Amino acid sequence: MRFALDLHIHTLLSPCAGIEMIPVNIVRRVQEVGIDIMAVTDHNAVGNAESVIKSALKYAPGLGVFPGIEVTSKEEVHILGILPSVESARKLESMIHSHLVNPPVKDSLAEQLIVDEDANFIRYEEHFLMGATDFSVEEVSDLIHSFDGIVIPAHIDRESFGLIYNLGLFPPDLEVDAVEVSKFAKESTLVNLRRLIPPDVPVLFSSDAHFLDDIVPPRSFLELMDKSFDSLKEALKNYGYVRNHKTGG
Amino acid sequence: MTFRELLGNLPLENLGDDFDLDKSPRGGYVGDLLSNVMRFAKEGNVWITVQTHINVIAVATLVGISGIIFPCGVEPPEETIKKAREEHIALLTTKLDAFTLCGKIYELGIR
Ligand SMILES: [Zn+2]
Ligand SMILES: [Zn+2]
Repeated sequence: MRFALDLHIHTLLSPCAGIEMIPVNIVRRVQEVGIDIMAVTDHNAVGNAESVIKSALKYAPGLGVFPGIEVTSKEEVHILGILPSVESARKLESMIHSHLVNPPVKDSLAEQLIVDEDANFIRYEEHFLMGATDFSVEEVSDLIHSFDGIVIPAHIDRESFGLIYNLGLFPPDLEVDAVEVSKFAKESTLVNLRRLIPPDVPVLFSSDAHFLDDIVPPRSFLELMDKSFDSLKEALKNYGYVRNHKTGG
Repeated sequence: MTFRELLGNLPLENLGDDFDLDKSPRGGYVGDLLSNVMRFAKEGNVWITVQTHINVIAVATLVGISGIIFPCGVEPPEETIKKAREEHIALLTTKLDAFTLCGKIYELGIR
């Protein structure tokens, strides 16, 4: 079956995301715009992933939600890890947290909210999520893979925290399952990027939504057996292609 | 002014015994975002950066950088040093911050 994907969505746990990014708002909007499978990817944290998964069961039945994380490498490159379970996401998170190098800046923690599926406050995340880890991009990739996760360098077309902008070239030893470009990337940008990345790596479009209005109709579609994590992983590995609505695939 | 002379004049440390220090850098560039360095650094420049990823050497080779100085006590990983040896790019480190380092090497005549 053909499923629409958006594997990069923040919640109110990310300091730079809007307070409206509570689980129920996210899952309803995501379903409304026609996305079948999403991932929760806060900066260096997974604290709201389970709540979004539970919220989907309650308020957006049928929507596939995977736990994920947007890790900041020591080169200040953003890399998405999509994980098979909340448990593996939590284990990965604890490794990430012990490698965050920046101490909290004043008042920053008050913006890092962990809530339940009905948006009741649970706690503040005490690690400063906007800082970087001391893991290189390769180490981030290996770490995510060690938890059977999917590795996707985020918004490689962008100037802030993008792989190509920060590192100039695609690192020769970096193992990825896909790369992400922003949902507004132009065809000319894609043509240029294609020449910079290994030929068999799928390119995914994601919203990187920080506010509800950032959640827009999907641009990436994959043929999957079902909405399971394993099917997604298989599809990225084997088919290695993504249709986008412009070229029609 | 060669890298060897820079070492003699400033609190720098050589990161490899076999680097060719008798090259003289022509001007310099400061930058940590490698795409920016690829665009704006010039052949023969000494490059000042806190970026230590192995891609630094690939970019230095593309541009024709003569040597790299890591400020703030930053030291690159072994794989970066190894690659620098292969590509004959001298690597130095210093406790000075980037601003102070630039000022001092500029004063010494590299510009
Ligand atoms: Zn990002
Ligand atoms: Zn993001």
